[in-house]
Amino acid sequence: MIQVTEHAAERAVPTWTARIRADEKLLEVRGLTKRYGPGCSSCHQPETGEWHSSRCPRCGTIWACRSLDFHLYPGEILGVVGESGSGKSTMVKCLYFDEEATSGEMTLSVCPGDGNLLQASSQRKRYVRNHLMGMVYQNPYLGLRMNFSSSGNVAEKLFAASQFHVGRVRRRAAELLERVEIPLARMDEPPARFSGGMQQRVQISRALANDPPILLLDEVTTGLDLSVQARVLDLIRSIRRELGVAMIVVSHDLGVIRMLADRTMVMRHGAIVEHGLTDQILEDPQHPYTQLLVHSLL
Amino acid sequence: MLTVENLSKTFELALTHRMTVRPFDSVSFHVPKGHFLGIVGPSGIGKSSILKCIYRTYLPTTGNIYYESERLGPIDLAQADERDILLLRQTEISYVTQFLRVIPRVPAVDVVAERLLPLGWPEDRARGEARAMLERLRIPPALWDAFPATFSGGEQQRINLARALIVKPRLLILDEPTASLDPETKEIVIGFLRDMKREGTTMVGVFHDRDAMARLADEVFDLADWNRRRAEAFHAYNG
Repeated sequence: MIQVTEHAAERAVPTWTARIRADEKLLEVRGLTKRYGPGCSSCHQPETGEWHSSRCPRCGTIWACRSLDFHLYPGEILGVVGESGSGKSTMVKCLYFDEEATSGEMTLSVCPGDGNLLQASSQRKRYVRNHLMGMVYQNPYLGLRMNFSSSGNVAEKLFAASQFHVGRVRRRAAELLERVEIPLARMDEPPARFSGGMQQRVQISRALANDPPILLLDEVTTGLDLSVQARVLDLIRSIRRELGVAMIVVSHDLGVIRMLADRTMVMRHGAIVEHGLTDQILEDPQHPYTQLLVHSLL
Repeated sequence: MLTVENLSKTFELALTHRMTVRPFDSVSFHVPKGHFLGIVGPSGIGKSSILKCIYRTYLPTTGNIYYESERLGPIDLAQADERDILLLRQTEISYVTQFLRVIPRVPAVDVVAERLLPLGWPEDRARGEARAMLERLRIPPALWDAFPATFSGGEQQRINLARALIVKPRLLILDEPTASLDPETKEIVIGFLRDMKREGTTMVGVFHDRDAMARLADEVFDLADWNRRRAEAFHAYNG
């Protein structure tokens, strides 16, 4: 439960909140493509047709994401499923600018002036990463400084958003860590000393530090044991409920997707083969690949 | 309130070999506001599939499902945008099956209260309402803070009912909601559903229990009979 304290008022309300409209797409992505390799004449229009892998048989180029179109509404959870190598992680990494997209467009309704953010200046990209999106990686080593204190990990994100008042930053870090059930007595311990589930929760609190409207979650519960997984899933749901954060949840685990996602898209060989309401994807899959995936569920 | 026109569903399966399954074809019916339409027919004829099409868990292959929404006006559920379906599921349309699928390790009272939170209820009031609902459905108070995964079939079914009913839906879709209930609890559920109907909730449902069906349904749609009449008309027309 988020404690509304007197200190909360000290925080500046993010400027974008006034610009969010529930009926307007928060994030829109068109033609997102990520290619590793030069491409050749036989694969230069990779969006057409079904492929047998994401690798061009002639030139060996890997098309990790092939002209992806999708959108996200405020407060909604979009699930992304697909087997290893389907391009789903590359997709979120492109959205967070960890990977540079080869081509495509990404727009955010909260910064309409920026146009295509994939082409924005590195300064604008940094603003988006620090204020508008939070990212939680499967591997906590990518998202955390393991030997810094946990509170320091959160504080780093606040400093990046130009909050320099030490007392306030510390209170905010404590509030965030408490929200993800890290005992306050341990807030100054480094994540390296924490269990896997706790490390993921520190990552989540760090990602939420500046109240972003969008959270990207890449296989966050993969590798956690089942009881810990259930708690992290419940935490994610309550964060959505209380903060209204929209999320993209990437997972190869259909059970996780079923518990979290309102809508789901299925990726294979770098392309979206199907998308729809999550229960419809699971109970009435249209694409043969999705049928195979659903029927492989234990 | 709900008008289904020429609804068909075809499943194209492509697993080991191509397979086409058509559980029902060109079904039409109408349910006035505050009425209960019961769908009957032998097992496997596609009764549940019709319900799933209305809820859009299944994508209808052809046909229309017109629904008078309070928030969105007249809408064709067969074609409606996913956003609209999600909004209607949150606010107006509930669906109950015999099976409960909820996030593990969340107490029963929260599983039920959770449905009210997106509608703007504060957490403590939502929990209060959930407890009242569980009490009405005779879930022993000792279980309210336990995890539903550990419950018996009948208890899980009542948690499902509680989740569906607590939002006071305008349209309620019921797939065997009394299947694993003991006679006493069944009475409570039937009484509850009759109260809701009186308050104006429109319902479509499948019951194997003929007694429950007789006491709830205003109209009955016999799917086997419908198929027979269609076949006869088809033959008569084609000589």
